[in-house]
Amino acid sequence: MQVLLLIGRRIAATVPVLIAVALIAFVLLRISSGDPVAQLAGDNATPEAIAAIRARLGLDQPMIIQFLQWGWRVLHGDLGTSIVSGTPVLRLIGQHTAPTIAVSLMTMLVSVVIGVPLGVYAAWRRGGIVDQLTSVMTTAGFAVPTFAVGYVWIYLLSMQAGLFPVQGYVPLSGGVGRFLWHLTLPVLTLSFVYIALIARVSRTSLLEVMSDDYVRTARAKGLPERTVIFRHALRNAAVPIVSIIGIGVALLIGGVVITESIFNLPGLGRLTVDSVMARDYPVIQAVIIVFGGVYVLINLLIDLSYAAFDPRISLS
Amino acid sequence: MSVIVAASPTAAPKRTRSLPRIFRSKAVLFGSIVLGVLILIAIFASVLGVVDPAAVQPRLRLKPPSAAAWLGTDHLGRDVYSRLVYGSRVSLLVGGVVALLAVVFGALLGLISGAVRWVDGLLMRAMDGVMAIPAILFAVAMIGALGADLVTICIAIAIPEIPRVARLVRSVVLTVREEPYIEAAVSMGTRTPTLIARHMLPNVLAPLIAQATYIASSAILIEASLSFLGIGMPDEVPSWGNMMANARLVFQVKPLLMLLPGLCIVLTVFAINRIGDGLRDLLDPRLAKSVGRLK
Repeated sequence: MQVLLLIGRRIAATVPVLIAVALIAFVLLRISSGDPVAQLAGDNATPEAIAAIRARLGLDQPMIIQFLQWGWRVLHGDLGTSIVSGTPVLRLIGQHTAPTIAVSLMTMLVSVVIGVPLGVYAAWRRGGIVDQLTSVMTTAGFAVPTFAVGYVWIYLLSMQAGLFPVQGYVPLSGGVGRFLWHLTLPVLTLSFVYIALIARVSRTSLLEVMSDDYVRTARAKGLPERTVIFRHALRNAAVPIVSIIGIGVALLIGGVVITESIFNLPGLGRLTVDSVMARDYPVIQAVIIVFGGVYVLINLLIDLSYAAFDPRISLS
Repeated sequence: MSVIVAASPTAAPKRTRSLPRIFRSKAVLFGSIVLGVLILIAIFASVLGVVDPAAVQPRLRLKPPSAAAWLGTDHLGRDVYSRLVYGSRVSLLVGGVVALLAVVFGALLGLISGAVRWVDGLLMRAMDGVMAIPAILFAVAMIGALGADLVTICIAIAIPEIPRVARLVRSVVLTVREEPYIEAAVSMGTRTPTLIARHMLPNVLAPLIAQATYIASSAILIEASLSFLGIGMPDEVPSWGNMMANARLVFQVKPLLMLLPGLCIVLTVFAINRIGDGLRDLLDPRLAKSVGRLK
């Protein structure tokens, strides 16, 4: 009961953040150049007709009322209608989520599976060849733009070696093999900076705990090195690693926008860029809310997971 | 008031002495030299043997390097070398302006938040909201709303960076706030603005400068990404990002057109990151020790 209450309090704490996200999305739309009423009314509209449309859309109300009305609709799942296609934005977003989720989850999986062991090994064999290579790779990972990584992979693995398709997306229903085959290059591209990030944090946080007393104690009582690292050191180094994964979600979402554009994946990133080109504001607004919400949700889950990794951290 | 002013000269000689120490770090020295050369190239772009970077010559499309066009021409017959040289201006300008904007506004919000208790909660929730929106997405949306020009691009990239700066400054202020000299200043009746400017700001300057370098390099990457997505600087203005965007069309036949501006971006960002890493190690001896153990 106590725990449930605390989890509830944590969830409640995300509400102001979500309101702030919604407010930003709302304001971004309002400052946009171009009057939606003038667009709807056409060139020959009389001032009375314009005023009528304005009143119908609620745009004659004070800004705060407009925000509340809009927020109320968003809470009911009404994110508006695309100006370009006339499709409800929610349906449009639903149609584009699968590729984005596929790329993001795969990238996260690949990055953790490669990044954590790499960082652990680098810390364990400090100054060794793996450590030095990791150090070079992490420095490079932060300096190379995602799209450049993408084109290097396209050049090497697609154009030269002919191993993977240059572009395109095959849904899971089109066969697991083909699905993964098309996702390989996007995931390799996006995970580059993420592996660097996770490996670097894993390395430093493991190095930090390796000099702690309990690690020395574990070694002194003759535990094998493997047990010392995995049972004693890594467990204690887990919190910074998990939290960087949370921070990295924003990075990941940003990267998805670019990766989808390079590899022509029909995901949310692609939808965003296309909407910006077409000035389809309701869609842009909705995408911000969705991505902001996902970010807040993932960080909430990570927050709650701390207690599982480190019993010393209580949920209060 | 006069007491506070009199206290400042003691801080001055310390600052000048620490300058050479910064350049003793190999990372800072390397980064500064590379960045210095890049800045010189950007300033003196017009006298570096360039031709008009926007001059379209349809008959000279996609030519290999020659005496006339040192690095060849792009898909519209424009001189690649000249575009690379002029492209440095956009990247460095965006990096510098964004870092400045983010640091000034972030520091201001952080100082206020740390020093004035009642705005703290409100301001920090707003900052959390901004942080929840991925930087590129925010920039894309804002440019989508306002159109792409240099000022909008800089502001759009700077706003998502502000919360990080504000949090950094706020955390320093919260620690400093408990120091006896702050208590002393408060008991002497120092007004809040003076307290912030004279007693709190000097403490956050060093970590702020390190943070600024990371903001600059990430701004350069984001600007390039925006251009690459086709929503950055207009095509007439040569930038490394839109050179790469143009190179997408002919990537299969001319990968070099993608590679050269890509390398320019990597070099610039790498140089700035080296400065940042070097500064961070100098500022945080604990971290520097763990890096030092590497050798």
